[in-house]
This record gives sequence, structure tokens and C-alpha cells, in this order.
Amino acid sequence: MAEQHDKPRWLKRLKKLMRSSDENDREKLKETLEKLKYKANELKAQLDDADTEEEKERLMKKWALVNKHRKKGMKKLLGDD
Amino acid sequence: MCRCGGLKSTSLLRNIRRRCGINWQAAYALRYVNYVMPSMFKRLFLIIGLLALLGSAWWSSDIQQIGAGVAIFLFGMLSMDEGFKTFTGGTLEKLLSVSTNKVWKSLGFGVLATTLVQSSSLVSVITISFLSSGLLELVQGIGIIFGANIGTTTGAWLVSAFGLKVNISAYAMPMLMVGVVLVMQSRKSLKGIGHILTGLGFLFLGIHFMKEGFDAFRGAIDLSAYAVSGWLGLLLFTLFGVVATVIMQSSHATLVLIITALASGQVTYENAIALAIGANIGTTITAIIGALGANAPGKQLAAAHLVFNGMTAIVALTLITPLIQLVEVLSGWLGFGAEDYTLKLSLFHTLFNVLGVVIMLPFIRGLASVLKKLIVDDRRQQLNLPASQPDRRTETVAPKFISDVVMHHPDIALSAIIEEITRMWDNAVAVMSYALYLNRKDLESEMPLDLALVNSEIHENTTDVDELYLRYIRPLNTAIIKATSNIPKPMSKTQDETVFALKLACRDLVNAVKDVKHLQKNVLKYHDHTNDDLARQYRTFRFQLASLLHNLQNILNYPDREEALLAFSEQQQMLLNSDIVRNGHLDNLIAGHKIPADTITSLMNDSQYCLDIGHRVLQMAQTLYWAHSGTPTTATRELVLDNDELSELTHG
Repeated sequence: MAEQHDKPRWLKRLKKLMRSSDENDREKLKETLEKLKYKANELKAQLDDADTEEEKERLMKKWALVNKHRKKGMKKLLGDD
Repeated sequence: MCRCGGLKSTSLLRNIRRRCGINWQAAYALRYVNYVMPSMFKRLFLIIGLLALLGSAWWSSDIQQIGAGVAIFLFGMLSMDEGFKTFTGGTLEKLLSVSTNKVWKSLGFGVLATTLVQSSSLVSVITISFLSSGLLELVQGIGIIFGANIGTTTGAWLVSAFGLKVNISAYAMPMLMVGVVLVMQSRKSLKGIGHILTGLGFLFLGIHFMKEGFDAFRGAIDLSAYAVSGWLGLLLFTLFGVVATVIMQSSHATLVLIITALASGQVTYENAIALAIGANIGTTITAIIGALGANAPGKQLAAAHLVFNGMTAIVALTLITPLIQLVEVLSGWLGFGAEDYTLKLSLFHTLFNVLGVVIMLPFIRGLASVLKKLIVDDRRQQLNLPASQPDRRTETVAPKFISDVVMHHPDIALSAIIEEITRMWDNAVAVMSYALYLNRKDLESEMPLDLALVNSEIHENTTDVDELYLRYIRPLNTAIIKATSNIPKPMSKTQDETVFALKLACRDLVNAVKDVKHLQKNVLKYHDHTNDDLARQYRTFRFQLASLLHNLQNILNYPDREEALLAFSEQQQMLLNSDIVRNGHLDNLIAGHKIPADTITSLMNDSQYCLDIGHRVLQMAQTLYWAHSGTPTTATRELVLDNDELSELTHG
């Protein structure tokens, strides 16, 4: 069987560079949603460990805010499909 | 700025007087020397030049043919320039950003770009505009210029190895035919290809005309009889090369002219070498003329270009004999004929430019830092308005990023506009902190804001906010809005959206500054009022706005876009929650008779001013952040929550 070669790095970068802005936006949106998901999980973990009610409330608000952004992003992503 | 406009207006005279601190007569004299005389000389030079051209054409049809060749060649370069401009919409910006982050990459970019567009002047003009708009650092710019000097030598190779050996006009005709048809198409990309093809066709046709002209001219007059040998010849013909390049505004065109003249035996090999060295110096003069209207980075780059080409020319002239010997040796290795002087000239041209780069490359950072010290770039200098006293300055600010130089390409123009808006934002922060009786350094420091607010004195001895607005905000806003309407087309959809969002944000910022004026009046009146509740509320207004500005200044520097997105939303949420009408605080104050009845309306209006200012500055900060982040962030930008969505979150 022929050996599978990875595409050279410069070709990948060139393809990325020549990609249309719509494709780039979609990629970026997915990436952002991933990061927001990670942030939401992180906040959830912090929420479990929070000592004071005040801290809990602050984290809860932030967690809700992250999820609101995520929801909006998911809607946009599905709408584009 | 337009110099002609300056000639007619008395505002120029007023500016000269104010800046130089001189009387009207001296200002008139200064205006005459700086503006009127150069313009007169320009016109005189144009008339003499045109008369000389027409006279020489009438004197000899061969000269007419050579002149037409040069004209067609230059027209071809313009057409190619037009074609390359079509392929934009962020691509050029992206290419430059990935290919110029290291010196060797910028050098490579310079070589490649100049080889492709066959014009070092075009590449240096683009580089100057990139520098002026803040897209490039000076070291990278110098790297591109070094590369462009090597890239431009490929033109000589193309002409000497290909242009003179084959019937080049045979290729020109099909290119012109296809090119013109494509230019007439409505699709942008086809139009662009059409311009490039037409340009190439005209370049080839120009070379053909020059070659034919020199061949025919040889029969009439033998210019080689005027050859001068030795050092005198070297210096004289170097000077001719400089003059020819300054007139034609293109070292490439000069070099093609030299090669065709050399091929026809109209100049000697030694004199052709001197002419080529002169063309290298001449091209820097073109760049310097281009940089006269540019800002500090443009001037820095033009100076670097002059230093580099000047040094290269000195080295080439000093080492002329060993260089010619080296060319002979290399020509033997490469198999050039002993009499093939055009190829030898191309080799010489490449060798001395590469030698210049090799010599100057280790000093590139040193050169950049010296030039930065000599030609100071004060565009990012922050505006400071001491809160304890009136502003003593009288001059209005002028745009520093937006200029004619940057308005040739959409990417560059947009980048310059964003930088100018950042400057306007910065001035607005200074004016708003001043209106809140705060120094901007207190606002931006890590010290607790309430401490800074307690320590600052509320006094009447301040400059009117309207006056500050006219001095520091309005001139920039006018220039920005004018520039947004003059951005060259075509722009990508994202760029169009960015420009629209920026225009709205500018309007918001201007209105925010105007609103601060109304708030300032009542802060002065009620901040230390005998009624504690009323005074406390005005102190809260002041604290809320100061803290919002402080936080926004911090968020603008966040490298992580997601963090910035959340931080902006949090600020917006805080702003919504601070509304004393919504949160019921105003009702409490009224119902409990805690504040005098005659202050209720003022308090309600001022709370609205406070909210409006907050929303407006927040809007500008967000727009600026996303515009600075670049084009592929449209998606992240679309995750921004509006007031209704945030209210849903607060009230379930």
C-alpha cells in the first residue's frame, strides 16, 4: 500500500489563506464555541468549589452569560447550515 | 493634505503663524517658500519637459519612436498596477501579515512582490502606505525595500535574456487583444487579469519600440561617440542615470532603456554600468518625493531607502573594477558570450544589489532605531488634560494616520481609519476624564478608582467641554467620516460591514462626549450638595462612568477574544443594572422624600445621560476591538448580546 503523506505545511497555510471569508468565519465560530464550552465547564467546576454565597452568585451569573453567548452562537451555526 | 487647498485658504497662514510663533509677513514668506514656489517649479518643469519632448520628436522620428516606447512601457506599468489592485479584499493584508513577521520573510516578500509586479517603486509606495497605516513595523518595511532592490534586477534579466532575443511584440499583440476583452468584463477578477495582461502587452510593446528606435537611431547618430571613459565617465553617467530615473519615475524603465541602448551599441558597457548605478539612486528620489506627503514612518522608510541605495552605489562605484572582473568570471561559468554585454550588465546589476543587501542586512535593526530617533513618530502620543486647571492649548488636532498616501488601497485605508479612530477614542477618554474632574493617569492606573475620585477636586476653573470637543474630537471625526466615504473600491463584504459599524460608533462617541458636558454641569452643582442622598447619587454617576472607562481601556488590550466578548457583556449588564429608573432607586429617593423635589427632573435626566454615555462608549469600544482583531472575527463579533438579550438574562 502506498505510504500516506501529510500535506506540506506551506500548502495547508496557503489553503487557509485562500479560503473565503465565509469559510473562515464558520471555522472561527466553531472554534469560539469550543472555547466558550470549555469556559462554561471551568466555571461550573469553580462554582462547585465556591466558598461563599456571594462568590457563587458571581460565578453563576458569569456561567449564565457564557451559556447565553453559546446559545446565540449555536443558533447562528445551525442557521447557516 | 491637499496643498492647493492650503494655498487658497487663510487657515494655512493661521496655522503657520501659530505653530512657528511668527508674524503675518513671515508667515506669508514661509508659505511662499514652502508651498507656492514648489508648485511654480513643478508647473515650469512640466512645460519645459513637454516642449523638450515635442521638440525632440519633431527633430527625429527615431527619438519619437524611443520616446513612444518609454511612454508605452510606463503606461503598461500603470495598467499592471491597476490589475494588481483588483486582487484585494484582505488578501494583500493577509499575505503581508504572514510573510513579513521576520526580516528574512519581509526580504523574500520584497523580492517576490517586485519580481511579480516588476516595479520597485510600486512596492515601496505600497510599503510606505502599509507603514503609514500601522500595518507594518519599520524593520519589516526596510526588509521589503531591501528585497525589492533585488527583485527589481529580475526585470533586467527578463529583458536581456528574453526581450532582446525574441520578437517580443509577437507576444504583446495577443496579450493586448485578450487583455482588452477581459478589461471590459464586469467580473472583478476577469477585469483584474485583463489589466495585468494589457499591462504586460504594453510593457513588451514598449520594449519593442525602444529596441527598434535605438536600432534606427544608430544609422543617424552614433551616441557611443559621446562615451566618456574613466572616473569622469563613471560619475557623469551615474548622474545621467539618476536624472533619467527621476524624470521617468521608474528605475525599471531606465534600465530597460539602458539595456536596449546597450544592445544597439549606443552606449558603452562601462557607461551602461554607471547608468544602472545611477538608476538605483534615482529610484530613491522617487520614493523621497512620494514620502514628502507621508507621515513619520513613510519618511523613515524613504530615508532608509536612500541610505541603502546610497551605500550600495558607493560600494559599487568604489569596487567597480573587482565587480566587473567578478562579472567576467561568472559570465564564463554561466556560458555568456564574450560580447553579450546586456546579460553581463544584468549580472552586474544583480551582483551589486545583492552585495548591498549582504552588507546592510546586519545593520537593519540599528538603522531602524537610528531613523526612529531622527524622524520621531508622535502619532500614538496620548492626550493629557490636567484636571486641576484649564487646558492652555489652542491648536486643533489634525489626522495623523489618514493621509492621501494611504487612500490608494482598501486594506491600507481601512487600517489607517481604524488607527485614527483609536486616536479619537483616546482623545475622547482624555476629554471625558477631564469632564469628570479626573486625570487620565488616575483613570488608567491600578489604584482604586474611588480613592482617585475622593482625591480629585471638583472646581469651576475648567475648559468648556465643547471647546475641547472642537479641539480634539471634531477634526478627527470629520477626517474619519470623509475617509470612510473615499475608501477605494472594491471592498469585501466584511470590510463594508466594518466601515458601517465604525461610522455608527464614531457618531456614538461624538454624542457621548457632548453628553458628558451636560452631566459635568450638574456634577459640579450637586457633587457636594448638602443633601447627602443627592450628592451620593452624583458621586455614583461619576464613579460608574469612570469605572466603565477604566474597564474598557483594560478590555481593549485583552489578547483573548472570548474573554473580551464576555467582559464587554458584563460591562453592558452592569450598565443596565445601574439604571436608577429601572432598578427602582429613583422611586425610593422620591417616595422617601430623600431628595429635594426641584432636583428630581435633573436627576432623572442625568441618569439617562449617564446611561447613554455608557452605552455609546461601550459601543465604540466593542466596535474598535473587533475592527482591530481583523477580518476573520465576524463570527465572534456576531455573538455580542444586545440589551434585550441581556435583560432576559437578568430578569429571567
